[in-house]
Amino acid sequence: MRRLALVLICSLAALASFGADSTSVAQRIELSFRGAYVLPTNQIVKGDNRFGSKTRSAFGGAVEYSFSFAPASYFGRYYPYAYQGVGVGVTAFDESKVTGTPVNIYVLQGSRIASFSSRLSLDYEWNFGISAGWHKNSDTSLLDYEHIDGFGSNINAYIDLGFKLRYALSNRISLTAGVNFSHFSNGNTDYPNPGVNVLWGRLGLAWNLGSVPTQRRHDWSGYDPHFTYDITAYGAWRKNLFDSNYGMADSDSEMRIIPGHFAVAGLNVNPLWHFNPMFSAGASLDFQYDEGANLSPYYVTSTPSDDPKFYRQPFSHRVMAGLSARAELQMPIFSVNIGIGHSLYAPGGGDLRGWYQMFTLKTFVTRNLYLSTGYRLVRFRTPGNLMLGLGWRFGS
Amino acid sequence: MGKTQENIRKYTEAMKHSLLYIFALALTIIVTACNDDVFIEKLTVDELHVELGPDKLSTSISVKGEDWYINSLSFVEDEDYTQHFADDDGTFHIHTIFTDLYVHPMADRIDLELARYEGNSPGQLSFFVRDGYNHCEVSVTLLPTGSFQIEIKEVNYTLTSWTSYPEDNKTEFIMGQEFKQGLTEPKSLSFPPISSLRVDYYFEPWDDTSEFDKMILNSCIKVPVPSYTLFNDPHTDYWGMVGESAALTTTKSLFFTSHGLPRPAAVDLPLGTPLMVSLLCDYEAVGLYCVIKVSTGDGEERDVHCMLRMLTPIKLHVAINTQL
Repeated sequence: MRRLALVLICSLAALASFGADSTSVAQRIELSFRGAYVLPTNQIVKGDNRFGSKTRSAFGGAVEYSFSFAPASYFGRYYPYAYQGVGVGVTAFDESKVTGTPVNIYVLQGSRIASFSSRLSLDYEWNFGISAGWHKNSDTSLLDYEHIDGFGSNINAYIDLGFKLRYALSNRISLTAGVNFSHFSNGNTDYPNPGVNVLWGRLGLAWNLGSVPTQRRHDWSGYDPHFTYDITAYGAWRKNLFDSNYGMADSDSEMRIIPGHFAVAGLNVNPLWHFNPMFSAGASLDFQYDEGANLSPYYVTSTPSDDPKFYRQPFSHRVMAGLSARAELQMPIFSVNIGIGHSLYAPGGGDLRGWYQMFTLKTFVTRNLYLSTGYRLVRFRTPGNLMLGLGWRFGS
Repeated sequence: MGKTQENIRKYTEAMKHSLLYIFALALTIIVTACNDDVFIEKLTVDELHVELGPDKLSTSISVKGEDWYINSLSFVEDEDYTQHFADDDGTFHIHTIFTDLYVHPMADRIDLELARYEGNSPGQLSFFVRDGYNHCEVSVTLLPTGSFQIEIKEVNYTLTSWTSYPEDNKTEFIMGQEFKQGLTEPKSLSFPPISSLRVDYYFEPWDDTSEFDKMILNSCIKVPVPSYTLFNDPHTDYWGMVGESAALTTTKSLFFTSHGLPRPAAVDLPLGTPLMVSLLCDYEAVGLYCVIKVSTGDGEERDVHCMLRMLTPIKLHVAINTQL
């Protein structure tokens, strides 16, 4: 997760660079307070842990800085209400023995969805960053809930999507209220990684600094729909499980954690049709290499299951090729790309076969070069791996 | 605000140039995240059984694996089992009476060189190739490259002491003369000289687990055997080497000694009663310790320790029976 933090720092630097390019930016500071319901989507928060403690609620607070581009700028013309920035927050769970009290540091971006009056509007906002300070599980060998006393990592990824009503009390002060959905996960870089999902209600107060934003419409004149071709190369590290009873007809499967981390690498070739400056869609040819995929059949049974050894599986059992449908929301600096795909070639077995989902945040460092930070899910529910990489957009 | 933005601009310009380097470093870290520690190379041996003999004196067995080794070799030749360990240089050298075989574990193969195998039945070499996780058993059949050469260099008996087995002693009838009507006039009877007498014998190995010793003691090679000599001169030893010989065998066999016993003196026979006059021989069961020095095909000399068990004639005497 320290490497993820490095990526985040890079993203922040890129964000700041774009902000610095504009000459008349509107800046904003927002304080928010949150109360949350922790969704019972995993065993640990439901009480299957060493302490038997159930985590049902959480409280939090955050301070965020954001800016909007000047109306006359390129981004200001296409995305008049878009704002982006950084935030710091804390999440206090009601039972912190297992969870800890993590601090979230993140980049954010939002924009207006609808204006109901001159004072009242509906905005969306996403956050992406790191969440540090989680309790780390002390037993790293066995997925035994009776002994689990924490999560796989001290630092997790923090992903949040929220909708909020904004009411302007004055030119400079606004009141905000809304709901957010947050997901905490380490991207399978360590086990256990059940993923913690939190549904928030929030109240906030925002101060406008510098130029006061004015109500205006986007100007997409002169924009021609067109194709671009995104090629993304990524890598990551991840944990893997294996079935120590694999091939034993009379035994139930017993999933165990494999020590160490495995390398993951991938390549996406993604043509996108840009309908307008905000939305594009296309298909992607996806290739992935997973060093630790489909290892159960290659377990050397003479080695202890808590310190297992494996024969190297054939290369074809470590790779997959798939085809995914992609939709991308493009905003200044950042693009959020979502894909749903299915394997076309995965001869090695179930680990790389079937449906997969990809969530990627592209941070454009230049007009064509972007940093890619993503997460891959398998069969809609099984944690997959992080995707940290670089991409190049052809035809922009 | 303008100065602040200028500072931010300078800072971010530097950051822009650094980004690619940082990401290249991050990707390098990811690529080097390979979890090599949990992987081992599968141990494979291309041939699990090979045969060496006169037509094929050497061969190589390919081995794929990581840190593989051979702990020891097990070898069976003519029902004799031995275990062999590596020399200091890692080579196994099986050097027995019948066999001269080298096993060289190399980096990616095992070289086998057969210099000689002279067992009566095929030899069986077996060993495990191990890598700490798995093992493969390799067996090698050795076919004779030639016949086994034995030369008896020397046979030494301990003549001054021996073991007696009195329960096996016996007296045997040699010949007799019957007078059913009895004698009417005095008569003195003398039996003719005995040219040879039977000796029952066999060689008993001192170490009955040594197949080599058994093989030598069953080779049917004639070796000198001691003769009972006390009757010649009461002052001499009981046993002497007087030129008699017998074939090496561990099963009961016999030879005839021509080193004759003193013929009994003539006896005067009683008158007027039927009688039977017999010449009898007393046999004594004895065991004499023996060391046979043997030279074999490998050029080395070995000692075979054994016991010569004999039922040997020690005395002739006459018995007169009047209870017919």
